[in-house]
Amino acid sequence: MSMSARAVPAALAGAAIETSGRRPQRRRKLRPADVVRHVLLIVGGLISLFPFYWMFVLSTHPSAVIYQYPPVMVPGDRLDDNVGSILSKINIWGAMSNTLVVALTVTVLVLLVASLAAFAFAKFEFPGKNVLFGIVLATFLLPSQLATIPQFLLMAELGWVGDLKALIFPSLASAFGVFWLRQYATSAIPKELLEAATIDGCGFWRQYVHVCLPTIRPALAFLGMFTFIGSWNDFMWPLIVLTDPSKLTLQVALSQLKTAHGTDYGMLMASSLIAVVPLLIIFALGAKQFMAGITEGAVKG
Amino acid sequence: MKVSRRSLMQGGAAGLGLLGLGSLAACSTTAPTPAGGASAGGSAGATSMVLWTWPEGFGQEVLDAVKSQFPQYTLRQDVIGGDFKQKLTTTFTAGSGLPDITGVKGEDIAFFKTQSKYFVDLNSVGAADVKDTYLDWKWAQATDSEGKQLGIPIDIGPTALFYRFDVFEEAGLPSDPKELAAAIRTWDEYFELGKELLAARPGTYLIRNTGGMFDIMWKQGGKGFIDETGTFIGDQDHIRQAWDTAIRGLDAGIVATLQSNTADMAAAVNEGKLPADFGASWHLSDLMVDAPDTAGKWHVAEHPGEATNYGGSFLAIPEGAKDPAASFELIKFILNPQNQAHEFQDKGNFPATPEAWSMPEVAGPVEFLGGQVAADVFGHAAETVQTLFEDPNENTVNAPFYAEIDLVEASGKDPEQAWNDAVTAAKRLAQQVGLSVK
Amino acid sequence: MSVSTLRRGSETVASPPVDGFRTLSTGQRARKSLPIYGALSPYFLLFFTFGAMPMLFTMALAFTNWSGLGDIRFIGIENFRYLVTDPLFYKALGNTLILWVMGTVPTLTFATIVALMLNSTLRFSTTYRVIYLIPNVTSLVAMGILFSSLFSSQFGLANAIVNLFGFGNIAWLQNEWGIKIAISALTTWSFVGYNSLLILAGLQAIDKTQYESAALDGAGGWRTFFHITLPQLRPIVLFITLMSTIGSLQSFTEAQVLTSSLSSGAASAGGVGNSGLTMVLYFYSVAFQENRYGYGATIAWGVFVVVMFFSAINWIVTKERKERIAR
Repeated sequence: MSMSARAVPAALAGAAIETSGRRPQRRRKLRPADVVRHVLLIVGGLISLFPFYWMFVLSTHPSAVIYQYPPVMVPGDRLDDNVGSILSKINIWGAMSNTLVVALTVTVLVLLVASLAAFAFAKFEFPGKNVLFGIVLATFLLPSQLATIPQFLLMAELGWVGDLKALIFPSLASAFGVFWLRQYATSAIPKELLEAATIDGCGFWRQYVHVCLPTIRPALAFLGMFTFIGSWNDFMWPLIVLTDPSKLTLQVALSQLKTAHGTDYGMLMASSLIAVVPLLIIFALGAKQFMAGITEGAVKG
Repeated sequence: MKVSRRSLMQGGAAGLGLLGLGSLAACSTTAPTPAGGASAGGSAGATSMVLWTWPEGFGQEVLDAVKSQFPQYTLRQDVIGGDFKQKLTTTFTAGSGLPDITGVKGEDIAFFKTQSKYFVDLNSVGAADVKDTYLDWKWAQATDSEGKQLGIPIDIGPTALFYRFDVFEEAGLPSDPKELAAAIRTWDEYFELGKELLAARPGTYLIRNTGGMFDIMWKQGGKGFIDETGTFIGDQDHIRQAWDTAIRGLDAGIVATLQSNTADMAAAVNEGKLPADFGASWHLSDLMVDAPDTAGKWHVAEHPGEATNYGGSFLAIPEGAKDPAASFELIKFILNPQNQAHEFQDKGNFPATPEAWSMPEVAGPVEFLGGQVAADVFGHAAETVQTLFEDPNENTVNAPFYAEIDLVEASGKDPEQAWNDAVTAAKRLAQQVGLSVK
Repeated sequence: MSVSTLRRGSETVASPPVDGFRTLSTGQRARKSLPIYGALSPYFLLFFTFGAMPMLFTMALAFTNWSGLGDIRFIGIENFRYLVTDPLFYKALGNTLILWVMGTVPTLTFATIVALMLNSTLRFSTTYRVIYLIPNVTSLVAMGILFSSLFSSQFGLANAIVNLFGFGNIAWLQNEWGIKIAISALTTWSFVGYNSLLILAGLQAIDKTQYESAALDGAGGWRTFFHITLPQLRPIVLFITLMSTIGSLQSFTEAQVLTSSLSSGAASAGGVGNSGLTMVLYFYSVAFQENRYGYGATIAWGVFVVVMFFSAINWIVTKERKERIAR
């Protein structure tokens, strides 16, 4: 099975979002190569941002503007109209808070569940280890859509249909999470530290809390961020499980805007904007936080 | 042999029980609570009733009318985004969380008719009393082989030709609905008209795409791809003729080759490059959303050949609803002629009750259509509609024909070859889904 | 399974049993292992309940002709017999593999370039990283709508660019390769930033002293890149390749939002010539649009076998590499 993935450099997650601030800031002259690099990075950044920007532009115009040629590139003045018609159709604030609750709960629990398993896999020998880890790897070879209907039947059996619990529990067993954290923990947790802890009489659980968790913080930050984003944007499963208007998540609520008749692009784009802006705010606010914690982990080792 | 999904799922519940006892004590706050479907509950006084619809839903006017008419109920309309049939199917299979009333889309009724045990037979709650209010053929669409009535019609989708009369006038084509209809009784006449238009206004087309044209043409044949005995008949003359006519239209060079439901198509409509399109009555809403600036410049006329029906949905009661009689009482009211007339005014859903056609909301002039009384055209279409037998596997076996005609249009595939490939593929599929193939 | 060895700085870290496990008696072992199984149990209980069981149930349905509603009837291996001769499945498989290459190659190339540039840039580094991650944050459905406008034949930006070079409009989404290009563009755009961060992490883990000794040996920039940077990046590149492979083999949203059809039958799904029909999109159309859940489950088996096959290749490639190092 997918062995290659076991050979990921440690420090991966940490360095991924490491700040430049940690490195010694040597003041040096801007060389021509630097200028070229920045120009290229800016061009790439613009390409990255462009569809996003265009989404914003379209959300500030009436629908028909999308059909103009050449395409409109500057914002218009209809954002409030478009947002207004969304607000009049769905309970966006309720949906947003539901989404936040689900995404936060899922993130915290995924981190907990995955880090426990990852620690066990990374640092201990026990009967059945290889088989169990093989199962973890096999899980993520199959797309989750395949299990939709039986999963729904299970939710019905548990009486969870329409409840946010139905969104939370099925997403907790993150194979990627275990895989990823195990990868990191394997090399980031020094065996001397665990040996010392054992001699001090620390059992498994205390080693987990005092040695494992602090050491793998960077990888947790990375996993947490992407778990949160994934949960926030999840659509197909919530759509099937939720119906009660007071319990919808954002993506499901927004799907109610798309009727079979015609497409109001202005409104649609405004709704996508509403879905992504909170994520960007959290992301931007959290970025510093993540990075500060992360460098500590990445530097030592 | 039947599989018990129950036993399997009980295993799952047991596993979960273990989990609760196990090491995850920290999150025991999310322990299972007693089942509570959407339809459960109901506060003091009024009984709460839940209605599932798709994003168009019922207008506020109708919902308000329900409120004042039935103080004993509080009706909650739950809008289901995304794939409505999938949602309904999964919920039926699970058997809990069902609403008191649900919409069923016209294109899905054939499938649900094969699974009628999931619905309350509306005859058992008095459907016969209102049967005469609705169009016979539409009513019959929701009657299963054993006479069970699954749904009450919300609307119908009789087809007509929507066209920009200003563009037609400018190009010297007949622009009055009656004159136009008389000039295009046959498809070949329509193709000629298309050539005239193209000559007068280069880059302006009368037909959206070949698949859309084929779509309406085979429906005019009175038979689909599968007959009542479960035999595949898509390789027969009635389909072949529609195919050939569509190819003739394509060869006439008057097809815009625009994909349906795309921004490209909407742009062409806005710019007057697609000044005509076939559509059911509800196509009016498409135009109103896609091209609001063209308001008042459209008319509708009868299109070549017989009118056909596109969609038109139903309200039904899921088996197991807590009070089918109450649900039916609400349905009867929601779908009475007066409310159907409101819905036409609101979103162009054409009433399935002929009585509504003469009400002012329907019989009045439609502003978007240049003040034309659209009900005349649609009402006539509704009475002359070619009704088809619809098998639940219809889409599975007709898809190859659409796929192949797209290839002819997009990459110039030889039509004869395309036809043969479509028939071969369709027969394979027909066999696989258990139809008889000759 | 061998213990993975990872380079981290100059130190080679293995994962040895820290507690002298193998020297213990059976009883001691069991007691020692108890907390370990306790730590694993949440994951596995959740996984078996919410992941494995539904998946196994779906797999079992492959032997039935269930419509997704009503009675389930076993039909043996009939569905499998149909699958192995189903031209649409092979078409979907082919499309999926082509889209995998068309999506992964540019993604990895651009991601490596971006990562290399970020690695040697101090100023605004955080800002760049945040910007490059934005595409990955935005929902695919919304971006699908935008990309279908970008690639629209009448007024799309893709055609505006084509026009700049003096060519006429291309009907991107009505042509076999156009559809694939649009889908891959969407994939590439979404994943370059994410992958460049992963590669960047790999780059920063490379032992700096190696560069210094290479510089002493007089190696130029390109030689350093090919002889030190690239080999060291190999594990991370393989990891990303595996992730992208699994992701690509399971992709369907991109194709679904960029293609449309008049018929809801699977045979016309994925746009003109079924050119955007991926394996999972095929599954989705068959199971959910056509109500052929039994056959849909059979397609799921197909997906499973294909993914296993490519993971096995990936494993062999990695293993060879390890052996070569060992020699």
